[in-house]
Amino acid sequence: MVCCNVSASKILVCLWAMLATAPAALGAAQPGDENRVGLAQFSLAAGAPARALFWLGDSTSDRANLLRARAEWQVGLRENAYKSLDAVATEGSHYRAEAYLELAKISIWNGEKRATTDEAVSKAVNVSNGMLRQQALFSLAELRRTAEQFEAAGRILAKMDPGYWAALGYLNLASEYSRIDRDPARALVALRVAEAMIGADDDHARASDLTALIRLKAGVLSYQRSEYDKAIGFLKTINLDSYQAPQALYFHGLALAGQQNYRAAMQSWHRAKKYPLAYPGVVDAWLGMGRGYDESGYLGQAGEAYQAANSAFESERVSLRLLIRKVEASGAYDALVRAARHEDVEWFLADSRTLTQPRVAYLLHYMEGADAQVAVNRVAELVSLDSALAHKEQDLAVYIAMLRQRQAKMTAGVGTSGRASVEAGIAPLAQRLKVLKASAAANSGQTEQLTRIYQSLLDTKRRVGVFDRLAAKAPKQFAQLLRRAVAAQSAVKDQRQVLSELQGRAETILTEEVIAFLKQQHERITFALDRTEQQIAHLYEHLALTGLKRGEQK
Amino acid sequence: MSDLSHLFRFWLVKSALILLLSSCSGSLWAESLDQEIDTLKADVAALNQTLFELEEEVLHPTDTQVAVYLSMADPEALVLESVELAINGLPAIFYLYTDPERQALEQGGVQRLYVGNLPFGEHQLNATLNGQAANDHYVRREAEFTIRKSQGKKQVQLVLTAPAPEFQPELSLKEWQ
Repeated sequence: MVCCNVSASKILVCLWAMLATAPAALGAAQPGDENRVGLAQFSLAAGAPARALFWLGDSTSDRANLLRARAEWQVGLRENAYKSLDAVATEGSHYRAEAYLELAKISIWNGEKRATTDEAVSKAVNVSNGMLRQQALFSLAELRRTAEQFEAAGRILAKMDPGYWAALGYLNLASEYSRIDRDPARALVALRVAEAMIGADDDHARASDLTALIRLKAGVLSYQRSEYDKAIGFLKTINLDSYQAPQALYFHGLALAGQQNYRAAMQSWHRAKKYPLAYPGVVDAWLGMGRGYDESGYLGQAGEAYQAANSAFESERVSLRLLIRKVEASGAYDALVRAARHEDVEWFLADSRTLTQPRVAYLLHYMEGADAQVAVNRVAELVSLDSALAHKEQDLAVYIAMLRQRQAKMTAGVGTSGRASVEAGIAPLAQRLKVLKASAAANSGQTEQLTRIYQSLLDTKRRVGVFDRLAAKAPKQFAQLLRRAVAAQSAVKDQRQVLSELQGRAETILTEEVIAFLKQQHERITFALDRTEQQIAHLYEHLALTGLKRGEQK
Repeated sequence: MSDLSHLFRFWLVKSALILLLSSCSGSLWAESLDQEIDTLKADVAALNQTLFELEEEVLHPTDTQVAVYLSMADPEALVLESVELAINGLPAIFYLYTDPERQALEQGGVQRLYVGNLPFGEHQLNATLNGQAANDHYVRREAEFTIRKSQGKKQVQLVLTAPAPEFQPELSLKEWQ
């Protein structure tokens, strides 16, 4: 690196290029404590808990401890998270309510004694306000509900402000009432309240999902009570894009059939048939079509409808068997989750595509269970961790190569000649600057420009002065960085090995569960197939008998 | 017949026991796997911290480092959708926000929008914000700043405000000392 024709800009470029080969001077100014906590908060929200922990460093403010606890929880340092939360859940802490709520969540997650969980949630209720208080009250109501203390749960919900948490609480309470009561009146009242409460939620997407659930439940309960008009009223307002749509259409048809309006009922079932058979209500809708024609007196068309259902179920069984074989061969994660992602590449070209793909439909249906979500999440987390580590391994290989190259350059003394030419160029430039400054008009733009050039030259001079010192330190610092990079590379390789073994075990658990689920679905379709065959046999028998009677009459 | 029913009952109890044992061992297996995953995650997090420090030192040497941060002084200023940053006319970053990220900024979070290396001297920063203002209108705000890179780390913070009386979103530049 030799700079021959010296000019101010070239000096700066040369100097920068020379110094860029030297390692960083350590211990430079870092963001202040408050900014570090702010940076940690954003990192946590962006899904980077390890980076959040880096930013938090040894900050000990309440906000820092709360964020640290959340980050520690996410990276699996459960015990540390518990300790960090304990440090925040003290008298006078501004984040006490959040800490108690997090402690309550940990307590529930750990399956601790009810009294311990109760204590944490009650403390959260006592010290919180606003949305946090609503969340704490909801948790308290849930604790009472799961302990079968429904009256107590109802009293807590009655104290809550309208919104998402209150609506969710009433929906859960309604589920309990519908489970234990013969008469669905109490459950319907709870659902009415839930619907009124969700109206106050500002998050429209969340409110729309919950409303669909509330209306479906209310519709089913009204139908069971033979209140068909009410049921139709609830069910007809459910969005066709929602996950509940096929089931809602099936019950809508049932309610219409209850009013002897088979024609309209069959229209609803016909719409439900458009969805994959994996969704609740679709198999019943196929069977309903045959029943609808049968009840309307069109026996021939009823037979055809049952036959159509029969062939649809038969083909679904073939699809399920193929899917089971695929899951057995390549694992559930590849066959369901990854494949579903690939199919969704052109999502912008089709609406409701995710709802109409049979494979995605079975995945969604499987994912309804909490255990299934845990099993899929476990594998997904490990896959993403492995991809991040692979990326790091590649980066480290590049750093190591670059550090070796720079170390060799510094050891060979590259840059010393460049420094000398830069140093020699400063004095003539300073002289020219002095001359120009003397002739520049006062208070003009020229003076300002010359001042900037002067500052640049001053910087250059200062840096040329320290260059030799930095250059002397460089090989040692490069060697140190190189050692750290090589150690990190080896650690990444070790961790990827452990990860690969854990991923294999997690995928085995998921695959076994998915195969069991798919076999269950196969049985469900087989049962529906039996029903269509019985109905067809019954219809043919009926038609044969009618034909015989007609023949006898003639 | 009684022998048969006895056999059937024995078979039922045996099957139930096998089922119970297999479900217990399955869940225990998953539980121990979860514990091992937690340990691995903690190790990976620790390694990530080391790597982050190393990257800071290797990739962004202090003397050439320039970092641009973003924060919101007024959470009501704007529902932030995206930010574009250009340095000396060249696009440096385009960032699209998720809901949790937006909420974090509104609650006092700070985003490290850009970190890179720049030579000494003056540089132009052009920041463009897109989002929804308090009156529900979609707005696009552009701001240009000049920063001067000299010896040591250069750290600047873009602060989003909405000063009275118009409460229109505005960007200002703050330098970290």
